[in-house]
Amino acid sequence: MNLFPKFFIVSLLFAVAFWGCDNTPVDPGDDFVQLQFNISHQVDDQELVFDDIKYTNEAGNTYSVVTLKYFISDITLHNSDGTEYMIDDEHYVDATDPTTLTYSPGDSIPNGDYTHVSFIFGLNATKNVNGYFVNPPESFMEWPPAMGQGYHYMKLEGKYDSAGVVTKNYNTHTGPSMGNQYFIEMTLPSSSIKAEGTNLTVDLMMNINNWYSGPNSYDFNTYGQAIMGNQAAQKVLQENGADVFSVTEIR
Amino acid sequence: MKNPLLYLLSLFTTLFLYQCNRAPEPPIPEPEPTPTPYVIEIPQGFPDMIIPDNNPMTEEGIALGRKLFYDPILSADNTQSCGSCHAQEHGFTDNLKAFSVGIDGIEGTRNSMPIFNAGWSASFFWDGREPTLEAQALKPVTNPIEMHNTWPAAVASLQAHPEYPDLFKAAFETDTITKDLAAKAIAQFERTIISANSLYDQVGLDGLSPAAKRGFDIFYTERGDCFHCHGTKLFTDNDFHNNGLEVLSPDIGYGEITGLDSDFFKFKTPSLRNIEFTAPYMHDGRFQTLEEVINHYSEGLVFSQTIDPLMKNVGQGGVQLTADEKQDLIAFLKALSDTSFTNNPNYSQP
Ligand code: HEC
Ligand code: HEC
Repeated sequence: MNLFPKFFIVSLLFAVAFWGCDNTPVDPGDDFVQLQFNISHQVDDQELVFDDIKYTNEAGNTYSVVTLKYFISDITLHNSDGTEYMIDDEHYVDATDPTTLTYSPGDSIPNGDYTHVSFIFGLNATKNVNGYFVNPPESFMEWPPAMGQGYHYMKLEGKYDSAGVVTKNYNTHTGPSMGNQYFIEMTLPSSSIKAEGTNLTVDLMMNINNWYSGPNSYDFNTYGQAIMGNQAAQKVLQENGADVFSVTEIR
Repeated sequence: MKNPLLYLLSLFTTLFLYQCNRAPEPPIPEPEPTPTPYVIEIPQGFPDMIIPDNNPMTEEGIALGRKLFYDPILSADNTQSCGSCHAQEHGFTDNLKAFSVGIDGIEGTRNSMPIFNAGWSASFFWDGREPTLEAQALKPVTNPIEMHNTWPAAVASLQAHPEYPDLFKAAFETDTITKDLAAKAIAQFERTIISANSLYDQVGLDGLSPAAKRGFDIFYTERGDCFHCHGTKLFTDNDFHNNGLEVLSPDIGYGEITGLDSDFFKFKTPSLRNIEFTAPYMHDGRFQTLEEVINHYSEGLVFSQTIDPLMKNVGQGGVQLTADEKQDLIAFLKALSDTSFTNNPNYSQP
């Protein structure tokens, strides 16, 4: 009698029995490190406090911040051996909502030396299409179909005193203006990370005044409201935005 | 058993079932009739609906909620139902009155709100003081200037009624009627009230009249800048804003709830779907027509500390639309009317 068919069936059954339900996740063990980002917002050296007209930008506008909402996406760690690990697709921040300020990207990274962290401020062109986000709050970042579709990269809104007389509104809204892409590919300065088995927290800080200076001085009297279709304003913000984030600590 | 393979087979079967922890349930005796689960159909492009875990929708629950919604039995003198101030043909808002009147003939201080697509909202009333439809549904019954009843009295009437005990039993499998079950049933019914079939939904931008198309451009650009608050498929951000209305009363809206100065005079953004049917407009019903509303955004804005930063050109009173632009904008707003919703037989008095 040929034993082979039996043997075959037995091994098949083994395979089925053990493969049947794959509900034990791979234990990351000590070789993988989970990152957490703690995001904070400042205006130069002051902590951001909402709704108070007390900040001054390079152009001399005295302003408040009422709304600050934005996306970062394609969050990537760059290993010194050249490997890249994209640890999350996108993250939405509402600076008034603390739950969005501590952020743990979906994927962990293996132990090793990483030269830097990079991400996109906003969303790349492939993602930035109508319907990409179905649910709020992300869906409420909608950028109108008639103006390029998709989503705002950022809504930064508030009031400013024009020459100390009247209070006016400003809307620093960035996005895919008339289909032109103004997202920012950011490499975080001082973001080299040594991953050695323990989870790490990266303290990330946005300096709001950096949107309004370096290289271009941004004046609310010129670009106060209705800049969503204004290519010059979008370009200025893209250039200024490159250095808005800094890493204050990795622990 | 002759065949050792059979042993192995049963061994592996056991192993398989055990490992998966999915052993078959022992057969259960013939069950009591249970409520029939209702799967809500989400229109294309709409978000996931917010349905509390402790109030799953069922056919029986929805039918009960619909009956309760239209039944004056919940009011103290049997004269007023939810439907009295929320009429389907007006998008479930009041019939052309600025302030709704309760059973004692006393006027409230706010305009009745439309009820549709409420399953996507996470705060209710103009000031957002209730977090769920269930919590909201408890309030009008006891409100002294609305149905002016007590819940013990309302529950006693329901319990003594020839039909309600059976309907509650069918919906919630209990003989004891409570106010919470009544509220749950009403909330289930309200979640079924969906409007997503306006002309604009049906034909898209390309199918609109030339005037409505021009209105669309005003709405969806910073020319009119309506979309920032009245955007997405819901035509509302379900958030709170001060849209620059002149302060006419001590009603501070959302500020009353949060206690923050920065929230004074903010009110919930209403959906602009069916706006043609829901006059008068704003939390106090101050505007009778859409023309008056558009004039407000165009040249009537009044500055106050908490005015929303999205309000354009406040110093000049607003976005300064021409007479033609105003008509175009209204043409677009009217393309958001959905008569298949105002006439939907599933939402009417049963
Ligand atoms: C006397 C008229 C009146 C009656 C009766 C009444 N309502 Fe209302 N309803 C109002 C008014 C006025 C508001 C807005 C009140 C406010 O903001 O303080 C409102 C608001 C609501 C809202 C909030 C909608 C939103 O989007 O935030 C819901 C839901 C609602 N009512 C459901 C009901 C239900 C259910 C009943 C019956 C149990 C009912 N109403 C009975 C007048 C009434
Ligand atoms: C900053 C956010 C915001 C913007 C921008 C905005 N609205 Fe509103 N809208 C609101 C809020 C909030 C209310 C309710 C205000 C109240 O009752 O106090 C409202 C009310 C309305 C109403 C009355 C709704 C009702 O059921 O009573 C209409 C109509 C309306 N808006 C149309 C428009 C149009 C048209 C535009 C663009 C020209 C626009 N809105 C821009 C926030 C906004």
